[in-house]
Formats: sequence, C-alpha cells, structure tokens
Amino acid sequence: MKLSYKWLQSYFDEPLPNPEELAKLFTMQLCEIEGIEKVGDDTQIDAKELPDRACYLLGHKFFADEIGALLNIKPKADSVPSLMPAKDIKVSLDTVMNFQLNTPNDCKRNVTRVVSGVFPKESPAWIKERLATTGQRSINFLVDVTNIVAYEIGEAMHAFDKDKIKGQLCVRYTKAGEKLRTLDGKDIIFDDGMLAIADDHGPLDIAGVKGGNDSAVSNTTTSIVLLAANYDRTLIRRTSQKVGIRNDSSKRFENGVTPERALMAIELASQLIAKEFSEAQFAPIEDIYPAPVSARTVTVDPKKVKTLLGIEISDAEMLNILARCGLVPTGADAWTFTIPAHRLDIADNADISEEVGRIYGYDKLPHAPLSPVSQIPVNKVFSISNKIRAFLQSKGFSEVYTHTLVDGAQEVLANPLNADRGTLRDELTVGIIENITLNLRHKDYLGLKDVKVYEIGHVFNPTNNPTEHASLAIGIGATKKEVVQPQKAALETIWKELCAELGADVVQADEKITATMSDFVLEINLDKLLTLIPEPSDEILLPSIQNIAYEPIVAFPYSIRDVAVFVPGEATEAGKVLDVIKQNGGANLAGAFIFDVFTKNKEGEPVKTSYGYRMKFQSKEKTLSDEEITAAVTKVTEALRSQSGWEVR
Amino acid sequence: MSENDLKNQAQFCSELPDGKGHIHPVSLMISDIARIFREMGFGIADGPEVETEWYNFDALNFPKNHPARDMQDTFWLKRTGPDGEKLLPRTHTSNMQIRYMQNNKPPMRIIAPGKVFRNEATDATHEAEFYQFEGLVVDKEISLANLKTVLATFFKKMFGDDVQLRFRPSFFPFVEPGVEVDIYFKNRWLEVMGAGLIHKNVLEAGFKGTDVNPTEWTGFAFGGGVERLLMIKYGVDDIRHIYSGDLRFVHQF
Repeated sequence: MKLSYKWLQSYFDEPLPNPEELAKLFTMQLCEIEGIEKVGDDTQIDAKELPDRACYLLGHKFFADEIGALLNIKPKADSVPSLMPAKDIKVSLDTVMNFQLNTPNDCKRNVTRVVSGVFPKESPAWIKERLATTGQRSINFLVDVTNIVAYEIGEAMHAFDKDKIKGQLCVRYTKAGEKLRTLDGKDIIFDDGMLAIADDHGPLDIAGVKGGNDSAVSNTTTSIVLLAANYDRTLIRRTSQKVGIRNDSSKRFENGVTPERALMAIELASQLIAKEFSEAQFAPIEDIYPAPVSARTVTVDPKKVKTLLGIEISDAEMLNILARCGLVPTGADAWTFTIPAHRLDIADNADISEEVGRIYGYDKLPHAPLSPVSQIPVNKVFSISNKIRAFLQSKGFSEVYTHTLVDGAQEVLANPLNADRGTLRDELTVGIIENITLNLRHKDYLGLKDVKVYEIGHVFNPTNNPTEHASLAIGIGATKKEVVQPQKAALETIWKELCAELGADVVQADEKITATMSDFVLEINLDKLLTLIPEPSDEILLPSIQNIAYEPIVAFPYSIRDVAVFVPGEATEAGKVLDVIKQNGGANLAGAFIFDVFTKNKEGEPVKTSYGYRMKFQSKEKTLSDEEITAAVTKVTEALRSQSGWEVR
Repeated sequence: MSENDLKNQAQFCSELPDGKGHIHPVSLMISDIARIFREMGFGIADGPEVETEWYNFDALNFPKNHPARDMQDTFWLKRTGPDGEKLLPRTHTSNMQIRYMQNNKPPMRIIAPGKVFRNEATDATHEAEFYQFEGLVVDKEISLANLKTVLATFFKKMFGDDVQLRFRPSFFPFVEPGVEVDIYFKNRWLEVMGAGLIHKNVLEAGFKGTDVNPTEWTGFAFGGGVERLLMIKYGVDDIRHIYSGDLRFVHQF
C-alpha cells in the first residue's frame, strides 16, 4: 500500500523520524518497503504489507498504530483535525433504503446511509494531496471521500447516486448472464453465484470489487447512498479473478477484514462530509449485522513466548509491548487479553511471540547454538551421486544441468509458460545430445579433444511406476559420424569401471538396469542402480568449492590461434614461453594455455623442446577483425622468434 | 590470491591440462551447504520433484483460495493423481518438511536440496526451474535465537567471518513467526533466505498418523536458493548462465 508521510504525521503531535528512517523502521520491524518517492510536498512510502497482516494493515490508521507501537508513542484517534464526533452528526432526514441482505453467509454486515443536500464539488486541497501521494486520482469530493476512508481505515466503500436507484436496494447472488457496465466502462457478464448490489432493474455494483456506471455519482447528483459492507474473502477472490478486476477494493476484502470496520467507514465518511458540506443532511445509519462477531481473546504463556524466541525479557517489558500492540487485559488474569477486532492475524501464542519478537527487536536475539548430536544419518542418493561425480571427473567428464521443462515428453503441464517447455523430460539423453552440440562449438576454446559431459537428474513418465526417478546420462561428443563406434566402446568401458567403483556387480547391473545407449549417450536408471550398491558408511561430499575469479561468458566471438616454438634445452621453459606470449599478445589476448610439449633429443644435436600454445583472442567491446588478430599473432610470433635460439615452428 | 592473480591463473596456463573434467558449481555448492550443516548435526533428505497439492500447499498451511498461494506462481500437471489429487512440479523444497516428518522420529535435523519450479518468465534473476535447499529442525524447546545462530554460523562459513546476518519480519504460511534473512556481504545487504519457527498446523500435518505428539515438539525451518548463493559468491550476474549447459561456464569451477 502506498502511504503518505504527511498523512501518517497527522496522527502525531511529535515529529516522526524522516521518511527514510521511518521506512527503515518498517523494514526491520513490520514489512518490506518497495520504494520512497517525493510527491509534491509530501513523500510516498510504498509498503509491501505481508499476506498475514494485510487483514488489518491496509489503512494509514493502522500504520500509525504500528508507528505508535514501535516508537512507544500514542497516535491520535483521527488524522483529520476538527472532525465532528460521529455521534454528534445531526440526523435531519428520515429516508432509509430498507436494504435487503439476502446472502448472510457471504455478506456478514451491510451499513448504508442516505446523505442529501450534496453535490459533486471539487475536493479541498488536503484531500487532493492525500490522494495524489497515495497514487489515486481526485474525481469529486463525494467519490474522494470513499477513497479517503479506504486509505484511512482500510474499508473499501461506495457512494451511489440515490436518484438512480430504482426500487429496492439489496445484496444478492447474481444469475448467469446478468450484465453490468463498470464505472470505468468495462462490460461485465456475471456468472451464477457472484455477489452484486442490485435494485429492481438489476446489478448496480460488483460487490466488493467495482461500482457500476448506471448508479455512479455524476454532475447532477444531489443525494447519495453511502454503503460499506463486509464480504466473504474467498468469494471476492473468486469473483475478482473471474471478472478480471483486481484492485484496492478486492485486495482489501480478499485478505479478510473485520465486519466492525463497515460501521466505522460510514461514520468516518459522514464526518468528512459534515466537515466540508455545511448544508448536507444525514439520514439515520441503517446497519444490518445478523451475527455480530464476538470479541476474541488470547491467553499468553509468557514462559513459552520467551522459550520460542530464546530471549530473557521481563514480564513488565513483555506486558508493555503487548499493550503497545493494542492488547487489553480482560481482567480475568494478567495474561489474558482482548484482541483488537481488526487484528485477525493474532490467534495464539505463536502470533504473540512474533509481536513480542519484532518489537523487542530480532537484532537482540542471543547466540544460541544447537546442542551437538551423536549420529547423523547418511543419504545414499546424495552420497553415491557425489561418488559418481568424482569418478566421472577423474575420467575427464564435466557435469551439466539441462532443463527439466522440455517439449514433447509425456508428463504434460496444464499451464506451461512456453509451448516449447510444456512437458517434463522423460530422459536426460535428449538434453545431453543438445548439450554436446552446443559445446562442440567451443571444443578448441576449452582445449578439449572430446566433449565429455554427464547429468544427474530426475526424469518423469506417467506410464511408468514409479512415475519419477533419478537418472544418470553420460555422453561423449562426436565431431564426425564415423567416430561413433570408438565412443560407444569408451562408454561401455566407463560403465564397467563405474560399476566397479561403486561396488555394483556389473553383470547383475546389466541384467537389472535397462541402460539405453544411443550413438554416444549412455543413460541409466540411477534409482535402480542404487539398489545394487552397498550403503555408504559416511556421507560422501565433493571437494570444497574453490575461490575463483568468475568471468562472464563474453558475447562477442573469439578466435583461436595456435603457436609452437622450439626452445633449447629440456622441457623447463613453458612458463617463459607463456610470459613472452602474454607480454606481446596485446589487449585482446583473452587467454593462452599450453596443449602440447615434446622434447627432441637426437644424438649429435642440441636438446630442444617444442611448446605448443593455444591463444584466445576476444574483445569485450566488439567483434575483432581478422587484421587485428593477425597483427597480434604476428607480434607474438616475432617476439618468440627474437629470443636467442628460439625457433617458431 | 588477488582477484587479478586468480584471473590470470584461470586464463593463462603453462601446465598441460590434467584431463580431468569439472563438477557443476550447483553440485559443488550443494555439497558445501551439506558440509557446513553437517558440522552442526544436519543430515540430507531427498524427495520427489512432482508433488501433490497436499504436500506442496495444504499440509504447509496454505489455505485453499488464500492470497498466500499467489506468492508462488505454480505450474500444474494436466493429469491428476490416482485419487484425483492435483499434481504439480513442486514450487519449493518445503514439501520435504512434511515427507521427512512422516517417515522419521524427532529430534530431527535435515537439509533437503532439490529442484523447484515457478511459472514465471525468465530473466537475469529468475528461472522457471532452479535449486533450493530446505532446512528443518524439530526438537524440544527450539527457539528463534537457535535459528539465527545456526544461520549466522552457516553464512560465516560460506562467505567469511565478517558476514553479518539480520532477521526482518516476514510471512510464510508454514512458519510463525516468519522472517526474511539478509546478509551483509561486500558492502550491502542481500536477501538470502526465508525462515521461521514451524507453524503448529505443519507439525500436526507432518506427524499425523504417527505416534509423535506434535504439541510436545517445536522446530524451525528455512529455505534458500542455491544459485543465489553462487551468484553472490562469484558475482555471477545472470542465473541463465548457470543452466546454459555451456562448458565455458562449468569449466571455470
């Protein structure tokens, strides 16, 4: 909810902390703040109230209560100066609507009041400012009042033009096909069983969601019906989803608000109208409230609260915090409290612990390690997977993670994000094949002879039992079709070695596990393989992750150039050769690694060693031209050649 | 070693390659998470990625038709389970809280790493599929102070002793009180986890039908993103790199 800083300040005589500090206070002790923004002379604080607190918090009054609790100061009852007390508003009309509440299960309370002698004048500056800061548009005073009420006490209410209501006003379920044009001109066709405020001619308002155009306050309005009600949260949620309108009003109702607020809303709207319209005439309030909610109480177990939080706090301090939260002792005993009607988030000791904890301050939680345990269970899938990873790493395989959401498998999503990611994979092989294709392009960059990859992950098939299992796929990339056979042989060897490594009988494994072997990918049901492997005695972990300097993959293309040089002597000069390459490669030399070394030791000739280096040229800013690369390579070659006794091959 | 030295070492090499492959950083990170928590007595638990609505939501105290369900954009499977129950690729690893409680006796301490799914458009910080790790402790007289101490210990071991940790009030249906966990690392506060004391309805659901009396036990739970920790630790700027399958990424680790 977007808050006005000035509006909050108007609850207090003492100056509040500045908006940034206030936002910090909320962040650490109440809810997240999405942003702070200057709006005219005011500041907007955008508070992201949490779903559990949204039932009470969606109004400035309640944020003011929170400020009061957090800073231990007392907010005033009203944010608007010189309001006439609600009970003193003179009733000078006898018009009543005889409102019919036909849906007591889904409308717990309905309050109406007719006000005449009004017209849709322009709102005073203070109302316009409050609306502007809270991100709303001023329409006219009569409509603005309802919005001020909503942002003040969190009750979405509505004003109808009384003269546009034909006959009996009621709240009832809609019938399929009934229609309504909303205030903003959207045509709605109702389903059965939604809630509408209706007159003899049909629905006037999507209850709790949006007002209708036909009964809207307009230039000719002289008399209005104020209406505030309490609707079932689930029904409002369903309705707003169905009609595709989600707004402040539906949000307030679907988070659940107390029916107590409906009367407060009518009273506050009346007070605001009386303040700005000396000629307004008020009818009596018509309050239909078939089953008033009874006051709820909570009995606090202070010892348990302390244990749950793990803090030492005196009873007096805890009582002080609870009082600041508006919890009033019932008098039955020291620790039984009446819960304020709007605090539907509070029900038990755990909720009280949260209030005490956040106001006491989570920053003051003491150091409290868990007690040591003697035995920790070992997880077989986790351990064996790690063992497989270590083994495959030693054989030159790298691990990849590919997507579970793929196209064309049998486990189908009802609501996919993209059509080409609408199913859950039934094998890893497809992903591995795609992955090999991708990585073959970078074989030289990576200095690889083969692309050797594997994945461990879950696969899904609704026709199998079980429908989900862990799988392992191992692949060796082929550059040319004809080298498929050696790869198959290599995979068969890996499979045998893996079984030996894990302690599985390979003959048994071959029998029990349907491994699939495509041309160059082997896939194994890991869950089945695990049944053939003894339980590990201790958890198997991987080596600790190394401290590396991560380099994002550069989007611009790279070029690979090889250079080889003979240097006199045994193979001890690799570092020296690299230094010369680095010093002369220029700014676009992104890397260089040795890929080949051999020493020539022919009788009668001096000993010399050849060092083959692969150089990567790449810029982070642009695509390099052939000329730029060739020039850099030439510079390196010349520098190597200029070393005494070195021959570039 | 300085950042520059590390960079040099990674890009310029005068020793022949050892012919070894590379383990994916997500696996390494999960193993490190397991190692640190193991030192504090936590074991590992694993479970299914396709889950019933009951395990993913109902048992975790997400009321039906409640705005709390909007906190997670959910994929649903087209088919239903054998008893007509709705199925989904799990939206969080929190399903493991219930599964572990059902099959084990307290006291318990586990970490449950695994893949989760969210129906949201991908961008630099969002993937439709990613890895989370769930933590669960059920014991006598477990406190929020215990939770904070365990997490502070974890993050110091993960990111260094000068890391600070703070709790902010938050809400997750399966905990009460619920907190957001931030760490102060490299001169800024970063949101890294959700956590809290286990809600009594969750203990009830988890131990229902067992001989464990849920009212005699308390506990805490937490959950965080594995990639988030990787991204923080290495400055990986785009989560999509992690799942690109590109060995130019994997080979750096």
